[in-house]
Amino acid sequence: MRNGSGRFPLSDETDAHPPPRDGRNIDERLGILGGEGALQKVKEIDLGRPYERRPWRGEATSDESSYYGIPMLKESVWKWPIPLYFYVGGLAGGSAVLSAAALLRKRRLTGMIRAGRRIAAAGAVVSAALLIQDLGVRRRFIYMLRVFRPSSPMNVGTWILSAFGASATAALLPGAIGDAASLAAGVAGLPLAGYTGVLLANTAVPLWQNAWANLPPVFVASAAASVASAMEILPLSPAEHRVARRMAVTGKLAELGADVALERQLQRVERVGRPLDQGLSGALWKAAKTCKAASLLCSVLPRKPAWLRICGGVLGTAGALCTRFSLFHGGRASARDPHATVLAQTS
Amino acid sequence: MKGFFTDTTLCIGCKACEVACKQWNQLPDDGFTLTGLSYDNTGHLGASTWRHVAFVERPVPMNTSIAGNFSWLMMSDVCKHCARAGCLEACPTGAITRTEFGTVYIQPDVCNGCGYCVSACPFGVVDRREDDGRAWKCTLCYDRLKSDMTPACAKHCPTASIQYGDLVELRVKAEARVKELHGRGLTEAHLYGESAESQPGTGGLNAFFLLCDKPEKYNLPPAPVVPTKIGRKSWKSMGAALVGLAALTLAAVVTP
Repeated sequence: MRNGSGRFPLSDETDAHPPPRDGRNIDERLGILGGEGALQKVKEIDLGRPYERRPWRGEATSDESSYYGIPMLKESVWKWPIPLYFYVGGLAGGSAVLSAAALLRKRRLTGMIRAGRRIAAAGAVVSAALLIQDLGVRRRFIYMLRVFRPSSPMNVGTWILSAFGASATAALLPGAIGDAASLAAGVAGLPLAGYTGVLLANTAVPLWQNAWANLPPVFVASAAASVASAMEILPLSPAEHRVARRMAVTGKLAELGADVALERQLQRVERVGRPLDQGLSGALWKAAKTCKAASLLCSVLPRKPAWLRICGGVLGTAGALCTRFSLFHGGRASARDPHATVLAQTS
Repeated sequence: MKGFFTDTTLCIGCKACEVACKQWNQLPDDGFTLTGLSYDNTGHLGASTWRHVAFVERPVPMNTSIAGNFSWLMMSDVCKHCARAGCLEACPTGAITRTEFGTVYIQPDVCNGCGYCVSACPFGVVDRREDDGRAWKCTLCYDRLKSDMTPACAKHCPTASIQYGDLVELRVKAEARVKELHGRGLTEAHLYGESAESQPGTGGLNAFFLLCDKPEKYNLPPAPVVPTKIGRKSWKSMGAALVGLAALTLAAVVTP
């Protein structure tokens, strides 16, 4: 019989203290919760991944080279803030590099320097917020700086982002101090734009691991294109827009080149590269390439109306965002595919 | 250096290891669902599942089989406590450590749930529990080891399929067992991950296995590699790309 609190008591219907329904069934009056898994907080019973999707439903027999098609790896637990951070971090790093380089022609590029420093400082704050947002235990974000662990690109990246954040913020100050800080931010901004590629390559995910040589160039080139696109959108002087255009053309060309190199590296094992052809990640990859090519076309035209320049910037930004989200979702799809895991190791 | 040797030819699929692990470590249940995949209703290792018994139904005979064209493979899977552990090398907070027993341990009071270890494990062992926020996996019963006790799963295994002990001794035992099985005609019996020589990618596993089919049949990767071995090379390619970025930016600025 159902009792007042809507539970079925285990043995004694009049039990005033039924065991908590946390999947442990331990009555704390009788037993102590001291095991190594006892600290694991339970809000609801977790059916455990990969049960969420049950991708193997209907494949009731074990095939030749997988265990009922069940994923061999765990899909990344990261959510949308991480690929968005890949874009924002790249944009911020690239902006710092551009505004540091622009000090060479300080008089003519004041607007660009100011905009670049602001994007870098704001980008650092947004990056930190996105990264903390995605943590499982957000109040422990500072534990990232407990150690220095060169084997962990995430740890190295946190140190880079911290140094970058400090110098990019100081670069907002006027005068020589601001210029010196801007140079420091430019130096820290370089690895900030590229380490995220290393971060993905340093995983067991077949798509990311097999693209180890080309992920960093894709991210770095995309950072250059992102900054140039942002500058194309902003209202700056004609001289500054000429700088932005040159950077946009070379950056977007480099981006397309790096994409082709990445595709070629992945083609070595067809199954591993498949997520860039199929599904959500495939659609995003196609959209990214289309945006980038269209944006390059807009930027190449020498004398053009403002709307076309802005159009190039918007398309370039969209392309950079799609690239990050495509590679992110592609990695997730790749981890779900046990055949990709096996073929990456055997072929 | 302590570890497990799991002899799958002795496993009878009773799941006592799964139960003992849940009970000793006071892990929450995963719901009582049926998968329809043989007797495997656990599916996969996870944040609150630190032992998992796999059941493979094969339409081929085993030489010891009396069931015609049919044979079972059963294997109790667990965290491998790799000599080169992907999760440990990826952990940005130092929450994942190597214990005095040579095992890999996640400190729950340090882990901030970044989720990087989940993608860095080549065996798909570690997982983050969403309502808890932290990553969890087999501790090789660190609490029991400190009191000189056998881990709960090995203690409860009724057929000694799971054996716990000193790794050097376990390897000797395992090799003798393979020889014995080969002598009986079970030539497909082989060890998985027993040494750095046989599995250079991980430097050998502190929890290794005796298998009777391809590793992927048991959902084990055929040639796992710790991610840092490959990822390390990408730092160089990043360096080259950064030179390009600096050059590209400077060129855009200084060109009149």
